[in-house]
Order: sequence, then structure tokens, then C-alpha cells
Amino acid sequence: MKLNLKVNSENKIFDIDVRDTLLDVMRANGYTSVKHGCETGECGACTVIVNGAAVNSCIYPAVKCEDADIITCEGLETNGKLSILQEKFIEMGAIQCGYCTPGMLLSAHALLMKNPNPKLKDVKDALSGNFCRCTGYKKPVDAVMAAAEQMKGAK
Amino acid sequence: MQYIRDLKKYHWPKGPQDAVRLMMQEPCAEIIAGGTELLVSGLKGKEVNNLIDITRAGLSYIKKDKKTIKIGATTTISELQHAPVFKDFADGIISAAAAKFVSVQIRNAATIGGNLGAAMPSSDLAPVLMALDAKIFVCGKENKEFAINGFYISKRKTVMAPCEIITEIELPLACGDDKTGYAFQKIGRTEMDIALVNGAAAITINAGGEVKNARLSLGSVAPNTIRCLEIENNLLGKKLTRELIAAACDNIAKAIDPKTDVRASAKYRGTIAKVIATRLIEEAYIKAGGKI
Ligand SMILES: Cc1cc2nc3c(=O)[nH]c(=O)nc-3n(C[C@H](O)[C@H](O)[C@H](O)COP(=O)(O)OP(=O)(O)OC[C@H]3O[C@@H](n4cnc5c(N)ncnc54)[C@H](O)[C@@H]3O)c2cc1C
Ligand code: FES
Ligand code: FES
Repeated sequence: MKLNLKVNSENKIFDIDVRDTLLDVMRANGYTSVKHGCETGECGACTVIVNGAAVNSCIYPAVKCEDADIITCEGLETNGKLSILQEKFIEMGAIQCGYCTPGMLLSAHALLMKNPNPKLKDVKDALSGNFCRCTGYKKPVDAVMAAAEQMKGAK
Repeated sequence: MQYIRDLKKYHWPKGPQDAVRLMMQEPCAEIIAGGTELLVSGLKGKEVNNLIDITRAGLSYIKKDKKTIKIGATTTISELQHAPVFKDFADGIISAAAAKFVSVQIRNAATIGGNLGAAMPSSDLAPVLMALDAKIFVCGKENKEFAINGFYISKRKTVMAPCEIITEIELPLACGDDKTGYAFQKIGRTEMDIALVNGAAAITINAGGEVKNARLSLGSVAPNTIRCLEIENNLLGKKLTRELIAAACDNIAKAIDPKTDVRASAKYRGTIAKVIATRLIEEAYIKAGGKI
């Protein structure tokens, strides 16, 4: 069956099986920033933003995304330039192996879209569904706070 | 991963009656809302050829009138968490329970109807809805209405008949001059994990500080979320003290039936259940204006 949707502001039509999860469909169509982790909604490696809300794509039926507006990590940069959030992750060493990073970035991006002035507890809550097995959580949380600060200045 | 090997067709009913009609007409059909339970552990061993998605069936809303708050079954946990009406209503226990509900990603998809329909003993909403004396509205061949106390009948089973769906949850608004205080508690291994023990309480007192009405519910300590009626009765008509609360909870072992699993032993759950019950009563009593 056909699935019509928007990914990173581009209109797309994907050929899918009714049984596919959103994770299957994203990876099969080249959005490999969407990582395959636990498959049970626990780790957040597969996080994507669907209509403004971060969800676990591994437990999200792809058919639910008809006409949806999706953001993946590929969509965070503009014309080859990384977003402030991505820059801060690099600058502050919030990445080691990087497997959790696309999910972390999208959870943080979804937060900042809704709340450009987050408190520390809001950032911790937003990232609480993203497991990291190497960097830990302090640096990613600090990077999101720093990005929010700089984005305010940039406006 | 193809989440359901036998799935053939995915349906989008326009309303609850339409969903019920599809359930009756399609073989091996299941209701899906957020899918967070269904895709992870809800379909073990079941053959499912048809999924009926009710998230576009007009059941996502929170409405307040003079006497009640009505919550549509497909309202998400995030929507409950952030709804302005739940910031103050019942000392904020609905948004408090929603905020403790795993992660943002799950809260954005998971629904209140799915939470009650899945009938898990660890549900974070069921204890709260029991303390609030919620009603559950169900649509099937006919429309039915159930009190949440009694909605669960055994492990992962509710009073609902096949081909019935939850459409709405109704909460009564407090009336009269008596003051009611509310509390929610959850103990988990981590912030993200499901509850080892959770619970909620609502305690109403009169001007003299005597308990006029009490509701205490506990989760994860029995096959389903339970009301602790004997403890509630022990509190009635009394001005509470720490000693009195401890004595009222003394026989809690009779009310619960905890099990050992990967997360905790039955013994641990039993011990913690008493601690949680005590804390809940104390907190709700103080919030009602009682002095301890
Ligand atoms: C990693 C993880 C952590 C979790 N942590 C928690 C937690 O901390 N607390 C907690 O309470 N739960 C938790 N859950 C369980 C789950 O997310 C919730 O039970 C959720 O509310 C289910 O809602 P849903 O809309 O996703 O249900 P679905 O998965 O769509 O459905 C669940 C079941 O209910 C049925 N159903 C759905 N809607 C209705 C309806 N309107 N009427 C009748 N039947 C219906 C379905 O047929 C299915 O059998 C967790 C799940 C995961 C994967
Ligand atoms: S792969 Fe989806 S949450 Fe882990
Ligand atoms: S950087 Fe390796 S898992 Fe987070």
C-alpha cells in the first residue's frame, strides 16, 4: 500500500506493508539516523517527531502516519549547516558512540519547539526516554540548556 | 520488525459505533489506540488479521461542565499531563500521575482508554481514577456505564464483553462544603520504570477534622488495581494521628496479594504497600486541611 506523508518538509509517497512500523519505513527509505534499538519503547534510539510530538517509531504503526508531518535528524540541518542544538552537542562533548544521539536531538528539538525557555527539569524530563550507554546524561542535558540559551540570543 | 505477522487490514472507524460494527463484522479483530501496549506485549499468541484504530473516532477531548469532567478514551497521557484543568483539579493528581508515566515518547502516543483496556496491575491511571470514583462509559451492542471500582475482574480482565470499547471516563466534581484532599504515589526502580507499587487516596473531612469519606487504591500488589475498603472503613469518623493511620493499615496484608517478578519480590511489595498506604492517607488528610 501507499503512504503519503511529509518528511523533513518534503512530500513523499512510500510503498509500505500494512505490518510495517514507522521505524521499518524510515530506515528502508534512507533515513538511517533513526536507530533500531530495543524495539519495545524503552530506549528512545528510534525517536522521530510526528506532528510535533516525539514518539518511539519502533512501536508506531507506519499506517498511522498518513498525511503526517515527520522530522528526523536528517531534517535538523539547513543547507548543510548543522542546527545550534547539533553544534552544542559536538562542542560540549555530548556524544561518544553516537547511537543515542539522533533520538536525543529529536527529543530535545521537540521540547524546544514547544518550550523555548526550558528549565533544567523540563530538559531532564524531555530526555528521560532516551537511554545513553556511554556519554551519560549530564553533557546532553547541558548541551540542550546551552542551545536554548543561544537560540534565545539568536532571535 | 513486522509487528503483527497475520495483520491484513487496518481500519479507521469514524466514530465509536462504527468501531463496534467493524469489531463484530471482521474476523480476528483488535482495537488499537496508541499501540504502546499492543505492539509490545498485548498480542502474545493471538492471531490478529484486523486492527481497528480508534484514534480518529472523535474520542480525544477533555470537557468540564458544572458537575463533571469528561475525558475521551483516546486522550493521550501527554494531553492529561498538560491540560490546564488538571493543574488544580484534585490537587493535581491526574497530571502528577501522567508526569510519572514513563517517557515523553510513550506519553505522546499512549491513551487513557488503552491504559484501562490493557488492565495492567501496574497502571498509573487506574489508582488515581479509583480515588476519584470515576465512571467508565462503554459502547457495544448497547451503551453501558460502570463504576471503576469493580471494572477489573481478574488478571488483565475487565467487565467489558467482546466487541465493546471504552468511549469516555467521567470524573465527578466535588460538591458541598466538606474539604477533600488527594494524593498520588509511585515507587519504581527508576523514573522510567513501571511501578513496583503505586496508589492514590482521596480523603474528605468535616470542619472538626473527622474523616467523612475515604478512598484508598493500590496498584501492582494484586492481579488488578484494588480499593482498600477495610482500611478506608478504619478511618471513618476519626481525627487522624500517625498512630491511628499506622493501626488502620496494620492488616493491609489481608487486602493485597502481591507477586514476585523480575522487578521485586512479593515480600518487598507487601512491605512497601504499607508504607505507600500510610503516606497516601497522611498526605491526603493534610491536603484536606487536617492536622497531624
Ligand atoms: C516502555 C513502556 C513503559 C510503560 N510504562 C507504563 C507506566 O509507567 N505506567 C502505565 O500505566 N503504563 C505503562 N506502559 C503501558 C502502556 O503504555 C499503557 O498501558 C498505555 O496507556 C496503553 O495505551 P495505548 O493507547 O497505547 O493502548 P494500546 O496499546 O493501543 O491498547 C492496549 C489494549 O487496550 C485495548 N484498548 C485500547 N483502547 C481501548 C478502548 N478505548 N476500549 C477498550 N479497549 C481498548 C487494546 O485492544 C489493547 O488490548 C508502558 C509501556 C511501555 C512500552
Ligand atoms: S528502539 Fe524504539 S524505543 Fe528502543
Ligand atoms: S553516545 Fe553512545 S549510547 Fe549515547
